[in-house]
Amino acid sequence: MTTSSTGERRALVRALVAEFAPEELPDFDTMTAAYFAAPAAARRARRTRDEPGAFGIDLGDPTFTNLMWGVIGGLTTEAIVLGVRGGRARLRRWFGSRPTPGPQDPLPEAPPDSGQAARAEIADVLKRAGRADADEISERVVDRWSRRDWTPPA
Amino acid sequence: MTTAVRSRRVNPFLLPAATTSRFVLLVTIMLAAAGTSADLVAGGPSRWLEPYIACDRAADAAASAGGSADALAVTYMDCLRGVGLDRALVGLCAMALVAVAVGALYFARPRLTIRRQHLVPADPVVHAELYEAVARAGLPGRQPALLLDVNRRSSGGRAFGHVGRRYVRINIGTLHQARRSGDREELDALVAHELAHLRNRDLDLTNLTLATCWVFGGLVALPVLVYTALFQQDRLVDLGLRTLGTAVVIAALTTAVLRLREHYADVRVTTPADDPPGDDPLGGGPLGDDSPGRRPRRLRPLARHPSDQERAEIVRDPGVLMRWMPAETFGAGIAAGLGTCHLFETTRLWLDGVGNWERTALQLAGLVYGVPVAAILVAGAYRAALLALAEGRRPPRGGLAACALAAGVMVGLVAAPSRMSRPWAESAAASPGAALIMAAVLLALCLLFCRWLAATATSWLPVARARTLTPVYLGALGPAALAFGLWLGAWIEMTVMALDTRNVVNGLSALFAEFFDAALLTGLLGALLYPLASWLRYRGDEPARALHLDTDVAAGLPAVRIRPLVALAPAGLVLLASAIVEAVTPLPAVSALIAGAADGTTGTQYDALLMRLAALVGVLVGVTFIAAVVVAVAVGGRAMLGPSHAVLAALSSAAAAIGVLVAPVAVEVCATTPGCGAITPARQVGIVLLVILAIGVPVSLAGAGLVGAAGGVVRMVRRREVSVAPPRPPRHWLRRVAAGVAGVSVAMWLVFAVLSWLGQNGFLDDSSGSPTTSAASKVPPPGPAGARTARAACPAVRTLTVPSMVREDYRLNWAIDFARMAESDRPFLVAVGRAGYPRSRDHHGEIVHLTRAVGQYCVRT
Repeated sequence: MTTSSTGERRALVRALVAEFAPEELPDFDTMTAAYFAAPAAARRARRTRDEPGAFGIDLGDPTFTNLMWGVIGGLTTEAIVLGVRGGRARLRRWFGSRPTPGPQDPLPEAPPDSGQAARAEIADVLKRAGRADADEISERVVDRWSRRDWTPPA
Repeated sequence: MTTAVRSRRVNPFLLPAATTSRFVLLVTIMLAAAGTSADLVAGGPSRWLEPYIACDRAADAAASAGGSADALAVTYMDCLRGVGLDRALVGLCAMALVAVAVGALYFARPRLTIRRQHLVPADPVVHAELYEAVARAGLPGRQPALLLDVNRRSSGGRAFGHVGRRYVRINIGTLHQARRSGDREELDALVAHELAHLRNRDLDLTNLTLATCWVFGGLVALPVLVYTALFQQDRLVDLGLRTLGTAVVIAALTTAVLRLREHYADVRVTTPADDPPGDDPLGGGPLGDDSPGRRPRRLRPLARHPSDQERAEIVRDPGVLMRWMPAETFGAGIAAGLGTCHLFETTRLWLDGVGNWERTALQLAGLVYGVPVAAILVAGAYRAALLALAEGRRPPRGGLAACALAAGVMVGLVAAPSRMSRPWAESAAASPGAALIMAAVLLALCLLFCRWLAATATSWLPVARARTLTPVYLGALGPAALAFGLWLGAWIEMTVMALDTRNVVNGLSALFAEFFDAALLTGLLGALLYPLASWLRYRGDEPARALHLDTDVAAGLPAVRIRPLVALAPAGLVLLASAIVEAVTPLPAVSALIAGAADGTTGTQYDALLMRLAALVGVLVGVTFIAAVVVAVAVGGRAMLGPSHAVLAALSSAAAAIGVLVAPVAVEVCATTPGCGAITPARQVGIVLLVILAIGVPVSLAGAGLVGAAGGVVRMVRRREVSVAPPRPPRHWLRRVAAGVAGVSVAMWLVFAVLSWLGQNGFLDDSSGSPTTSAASKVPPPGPAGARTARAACPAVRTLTVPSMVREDYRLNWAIDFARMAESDRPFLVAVGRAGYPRSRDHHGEIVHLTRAVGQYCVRT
């Protein structure tokens, strides 16, 4: 069931954004480009910004696109790591120090029997980001990835 | 007035914002702290004493080897000047370095922000709703660049930038929420708030404030602590505490600026142009009598962000922003105390050889720091007075602000370099009595100054005719800086004298002597009469202003009643009475009466004339006092302008009395041997005017104070309804005549004051007169060297008394001092004393360079 990998990540994330945060779709390309152009700035979006604004302090709340790129990036790295038995921690560090993969990088196959762990990990990330629908999203991510289905919702 | 008026939201944008005041304070304290810290570190453990003592030792060695005292003095001063130059370079270079760094960071920060947050320009097509929101906000002039933070989902934004480049950053989540809900209210509110920062012109302030905070931490505090920890461990506690204290003040000011900018932006968004009258900007219902109107009693000093409750309360009641905050005046006091001493210490030796250089340097240092400090204090007083006038309340008296100002000056002095042999704190601890009394004097001066600020604001704000009240505020800066800077310098000098000699009489006597300084008196006179000058601007048709934010109805501020003609009436009465007496008697009656009384005294004719002159001065004091009391009673204490009226009455009456009573006797005195010496007529007139002022001002203030105190008691007993009818404006021709007379008087006064000041401070050569004999010729010659210690021989330990300063001349005092020095155990003092004694005794030869050298040498004995 392996297909051409070019653009698969992008397609998966775009499909998830279209499903759960459709208002972000018009800016999807802009946000994606910014995420990969400045990963540090993207990571800082999860932190409180120490400056007052019109509505008080910006407590740190990344966009759904930003979150999904982080989740998918982490999962793909994890998938590769899980595929290698032994030396897991060392490899995790090695992969962790590598540059973030780009949106056009291939999406690896979802590791067999890893659905539950992936779901829990995704839900954990999303809950920490304050998403109330974390479980639903994690379910959809794992489902789409395992089926390699990135058809946009109707 | 009523509760309904109090509940209105007063417009805080009529005067410069408190944000600006605190920023000025921040920059002033930061520069002063940078210079002081560098000075303290570079001075080493001895606090620059070692290089100065090296000069003292070199001078002693040169004196032991023999040589001319004049050459010794010149060489010694050159040595000191070299140390002073090093010291000045250290301090001023530190100040320049941090200023340049702040400027560089100011220009770099917006770019760093864009890069760090990876902000991208908003697309006019994709993000059309953002551009529409900006267009709806209606910002005039050049539009800012709109940037997006594409990583954040929550609503938020920030305006930032520097001159020529303004940016507004919006979180992309704000747009997404507007798309999702279809409601653009939140987007509009956010954009309006950020654009309000541009309307308030606080972007540069904010940027500079943050840059200042970072530069202070990185270029001042951290290097000082690291250097001290590595190389001067024994001073780590001392310098560490100073640096920590300054850092806390800088941090508090930074957060105050950041909080205030948000409050002002919140209030700006709800001005009538942006919000229909009557609508609650917070969405909680109409403001008015039903709104709570409670003001937060406590604003967290180190919180960088205002809480939602504070923001809501200040939007409901912007008057909170216009309070005269004691913390602000406390900070201004710190800046004044810290900066004036440091600037004086680093620049005084540069002025060596220019007249009375130490006094000139202190006056200049006081003026340099007086300008920013006055800008802060005047702004605080004007805002508070505007708030009170707009709410129909009594103007502020400034008692708390004055206490805070005095406390701030003393705290600043503790951290400042000391010209004494010990730091300020140690000197004060060594003579606590003198320190307490001089602190009480400072408190009294600060109380008078703050009371004057309030009176000035109350008299000038209602007569402003410009579009805003800023020109009126700027107009008060000159007299305020003169009044504060010059008198602070004089107080510091006198406090040094009192603490160094551990004799408070010295300090108080010298402070009294300083009262005759032409520059000080000019500043004081200008300040006292400045509130009355508003009468010349009052026409009765002053433009109404938008005093309140929640109404479109403009209103004028209630003008105070100023009655200059009443104040001038006593002088007219004196002239009239004198003319009548002159017409019906062969001699002026008072003068004749005193002449008869003085004839019974023993002594020469000159002594008898001096007695008559002294008696007439007593009459003069009486006339000024009566005039001051009568006028203070007549005009009442309303708006605290009683002292100003009293001063005008007293001075004009004194001038009239001198013209008709004292002048004939003075002419007789000058015609009698030894006469008036070589003093030029212009300086004679100047001296007379100074005497009028030096007598008239304290006497009139005392009279007005008595009347005010009695009036306060009467008001406590009998409450009287205050008339709110506006005063009748003066007639056009009368105003023009008064303005012309006032202008001519000011010009004449300035001419004579400048001449007097030049003469007093040694800028005019008075040596053309023939040598005269005086009590100096009777000073016994010095005994053998080594009979006294240097400290006992130095003139600093001489007990000053008023009679000694008024009666005896300069040469007599120095003849005594030189004779003492010639008996000391220090070769340099012996050489200078032996050279200076005959010149002082015989009134022959130049001694100024000797006295300067001795003055410097004796600081460290």
